[in-house]
Amino acid sequence: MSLAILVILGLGILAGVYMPVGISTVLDQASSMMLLILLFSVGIDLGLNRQVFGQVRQLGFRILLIPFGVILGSLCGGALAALITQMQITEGLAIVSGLGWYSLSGILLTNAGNPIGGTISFLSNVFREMITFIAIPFLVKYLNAYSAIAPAGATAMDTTLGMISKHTDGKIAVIAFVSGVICTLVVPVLIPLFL
Amino acid sequence: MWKIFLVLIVGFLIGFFGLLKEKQIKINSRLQTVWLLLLIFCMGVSIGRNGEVIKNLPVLGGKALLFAVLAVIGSVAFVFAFSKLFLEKEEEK
Repeated sequence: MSLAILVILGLGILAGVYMPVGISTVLDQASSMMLLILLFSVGIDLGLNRQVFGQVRQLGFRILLIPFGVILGSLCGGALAALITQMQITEGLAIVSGLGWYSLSGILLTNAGNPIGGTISFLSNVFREMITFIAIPFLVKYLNAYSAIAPAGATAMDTTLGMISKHTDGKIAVIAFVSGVICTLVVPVLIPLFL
Repeated sequence: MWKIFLVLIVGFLIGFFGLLKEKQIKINSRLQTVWLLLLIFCMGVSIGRNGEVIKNLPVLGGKALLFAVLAVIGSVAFVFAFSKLFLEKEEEK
């Protein structure tokens, strides 16, 4: 599956670069429609699994450990990357605080007077989403289902939810959605902390 | 964002109240892979047609990739550790 995804992603990017703008605009708009259809389909699967909410309720407040781990881990990774690239630590922290939400993170950094940081943040959060798609099957296989939620960050509530749901079960999909919503709410607060 | 909640809830209710037959459920499950791959293709197109990404890739792409990879590794490490320490133990009981 990972190979298929990598190939299709690559073909999509090439198509986006070379195809006439008219067609690529249509496909660009189609992606939000695809997302809604996919999530509708995921919703049906979740509804079929009646024990799902009972299982999730058992976790209680511990469900917050997942987004907490995502945020803490991203910040550690950002600090390390800043050290390696000899950037300011706060700038590195701001770059990764997008948690995969590339459009917002790029704009916030650019508007704060750091266009280069904004571009790095935009690109790195695009990469994060791509890496997530490819990594999920491996994480489920070699670590555990929970760890498949981790790379998704804020995207676990939308673009990567279908992928997570496909490779795990209803319980993990619900936890992923909750984690994605929390991350999405945290991003606009987290980035300004480091600007 | 409200659209995401809406489609998930409508889908959930359809599944929950058993409005689909066994066969339709199977079809839904297979179509999911199709939607997923189409979504990934369309997302690729969005990235490819974004001049900003392609223009900056040679200069800033390496740094951006490093940030992405380390953020992913950090997140996975913490979530994996937390799940082993606080979430999976109970399930084994």
